[in-house]
Amino acid sequence: MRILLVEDNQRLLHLVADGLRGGGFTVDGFPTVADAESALSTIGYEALVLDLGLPDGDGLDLLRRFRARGGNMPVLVLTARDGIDDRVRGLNAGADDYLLKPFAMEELLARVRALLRRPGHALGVVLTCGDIALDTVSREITVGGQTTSVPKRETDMLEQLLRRVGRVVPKRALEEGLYGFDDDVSSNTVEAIMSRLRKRLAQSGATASIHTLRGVGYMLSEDEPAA
Amino acid sequence: MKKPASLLRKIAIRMTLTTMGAIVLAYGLLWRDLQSTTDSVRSRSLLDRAHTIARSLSYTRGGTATLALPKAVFQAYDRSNGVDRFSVRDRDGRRLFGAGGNTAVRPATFADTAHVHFYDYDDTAIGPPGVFGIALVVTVGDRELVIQVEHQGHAFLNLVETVTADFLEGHAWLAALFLLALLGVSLATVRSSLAPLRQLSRQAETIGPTTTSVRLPEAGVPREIVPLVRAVNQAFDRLEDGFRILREFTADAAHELRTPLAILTAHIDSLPDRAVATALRRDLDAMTRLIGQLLTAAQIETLRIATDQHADLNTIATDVVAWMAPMAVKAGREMEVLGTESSVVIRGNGEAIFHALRNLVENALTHTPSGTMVTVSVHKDPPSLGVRDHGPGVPEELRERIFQRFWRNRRQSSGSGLGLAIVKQTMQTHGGRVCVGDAEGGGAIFTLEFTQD
Repeated sequence: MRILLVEDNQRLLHLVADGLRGGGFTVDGFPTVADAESALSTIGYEALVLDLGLPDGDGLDLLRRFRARGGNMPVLVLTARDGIDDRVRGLNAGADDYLLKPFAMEELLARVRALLRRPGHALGVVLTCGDIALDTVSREITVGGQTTSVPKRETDMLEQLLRRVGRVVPKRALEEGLYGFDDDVSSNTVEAIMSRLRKRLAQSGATASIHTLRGVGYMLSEDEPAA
Repeated sequence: MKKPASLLRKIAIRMTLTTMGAIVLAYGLLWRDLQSTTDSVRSRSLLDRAHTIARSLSYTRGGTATLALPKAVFQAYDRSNGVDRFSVRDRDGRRLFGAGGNTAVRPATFADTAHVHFYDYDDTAIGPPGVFGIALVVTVGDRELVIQVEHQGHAFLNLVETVTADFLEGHAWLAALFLLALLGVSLATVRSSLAPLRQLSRQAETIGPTTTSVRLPEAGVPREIVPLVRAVNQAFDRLEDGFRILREFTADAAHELRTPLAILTAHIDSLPDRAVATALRRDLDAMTRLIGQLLTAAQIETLRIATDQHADLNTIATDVVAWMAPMAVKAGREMEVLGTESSVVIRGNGEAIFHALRNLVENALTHTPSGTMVTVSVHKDPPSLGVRDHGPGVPEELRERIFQRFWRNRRQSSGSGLGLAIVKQTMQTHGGRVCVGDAEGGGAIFTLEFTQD
C-alpha cells in the first residue's frame, strides 16, 4: 500500500518514512505543500500522513483543498500544536485522525493501519486483536486459530470493537451500528449482547478482552502479559 | 472607600440651589421695588394735600389769612384720630390753621429756604415714631406761609404688608411650581442624555480579562463621549493584539520544541538495543510531558472565552474518559462516568476544560491502586465535574499548596508539577474554582465548580 508522507523536517521525514516502510508500506515523502499537491494529482495513494506546519503553507489548507476536490482517502494529521483549539480544527478540516508530536513509531503504524481498515477503503480485510481474528467478508471468527461460532449481533459488535481496537467505542455508536430502524432498541440489549460476547471470548481463552467504561462505552484491547 | 457621587444627584442639588437662589433674588427685588413705590406714593399724596390746602389759602384786605377748605375736609382730618393732621404756620412758627391734632414745630424746617421739605420724626426724635411729614413753603400775597401735612405712617406700611402677603399667599405657589417643573424637566433631560452612558457602562461591565473581543459601540453615544469610547476600544485592540502575539508565540514554541522531540523519539525507536531504548524513552517521555504542560500552562494564561462559547460537561467527561481509557486499561485501572440525564451546558472553552479534567484524571489514575475505579461525575446544580479515586487522599494541610506551580510531593516526582496549576488557572479563567476533599469510603475527590450560565 502506497502512502504519501508530507513533513518539512528532513530528518523526521526520513525517520518516519523508514518507520512506515518497516511496517510494510510503500512511502513517498515530500517536504512542501507544492510537492505534495503535484504528487497527489499524479499518483493514487491509499493514505496521507500530513504535518501541519509546512514552509510554503498550512497543511490544513492543503487538506481542505484536497477534500474540496473530492479526495476521500484517509488522512492522518501530525501536529506539534497541542493548542486547545487545534484538535478540533484538524478534524473539522477533514482529517480522519491526528497524532501529536512526538509520537511512538508503533503508534503511528497502528493508527495508519486502523485508518486503512475503515469501511469503504479496504474490502475483505481480516481484523485482529490478540489471537482474535474476524474476516469482514466471510464473517468467520477465529480465536487462537480455532473457528468459533458467534451469533450475528455479537459478530457485528465485535467488528465495531475490532475496527477501533485499543480505543473506546461509544455505546451509542454500538446501538446505531447494531440495529436496523425497525428493531426495538432498548439500551439494556447492548449490555446483554456485550456480556454474552465477553463470556464467549473468555471461554475460548482469547488473549484480548472487552473493557466496560460505564457511562462512555466499550473498548477491546489485548491483555497485558501477566507480570 | 467613599462611594463616588452620582452625576444626576449632583446636577439635581446644584439646580435646586440655583433655582431657589434666583427665586429669592427675584422676590427681594420685587419687595424693594414695592417699598420705594410705597414711599413715592406717600410723598405725592402728602404733597397733593399740601397743594390743596395752599390753593385754599388767601389774605383778606385787612392782612388776615383765611383758609377756605370745605368743612368735610376738616372733619376728615379730625376723624382720623391723629393719623392725618395738618397745620398752616407763618414763618415764625405760629399755627394759623390746623386740623387732626398738632404738627411738630421743627425750627430746622422753618429756617430752610427750600420750597418743599419732607421730613421724618424718627431721625430727629422730636415726635412719635413713624410719622412722615411734608413742609411746603407757599407765598400768599406778599407773605410766606408754611403748610405742614403729616401722616402717621403705619397705615401705609400695613398696606404694603397686606399687598405683599396677598401676593405671596396667592401667587408664591406659582414659584414653587415653577421650581418643580424646572427641576423635573432638567432631570428628565439629564437622565435621558445619560441613558446611552449607562448603557455603555453596562456593556463595559461585561468586559473582563477573559473577554477582550467585546467592543463598546459608538452608535447612540453623545458626541462628547465618543473620544472616550474610542480610546477604550483602542486600548482593547492593543490588549487583544498582545494576547494574540502571546498565543502565536506559544504555538510556534510548541512546534519548535516538539519537532526535535519527535526526531529523538523516532531515533530511539529505531535503536537495536531495546533495553537502552526503553530507558531513554522513559526519560524522553517525562521531558515531553513537561514541555507539553509548560506550553499548555502558557496557553491557558492567554485563554480567552468568547461570550458565545459554550461547552457540555457531559460530553467533556465522556471524551476525557474515552481518551484516557487505553492508558487506564493498560495500567489495570477502571474508569466510569456518572453523567446526568440532560446536558449540562456552561459558558466556557471545551478544549481547555478537557485539558483540565484530563490532568485530574491522569493524577487520579496515578494515585488509585491497581484494580480500583476512577469515577468522573457530572452535576447540574451547580454545574460541576468530580474526579474520585481510591488512593491515599490529600492531607488537609496540603490542599492549598498542591495547586501551586512546580509543587511536588517529595515522594512522588513523576509529574511535571504543573498539572494542578493548569487546572486552577483554567477554572479561574472560567470564573469557577477547583477544590479537593475526602471521598466517602476513602480516596480523594477533586471538584471543578463552574458558575451557572
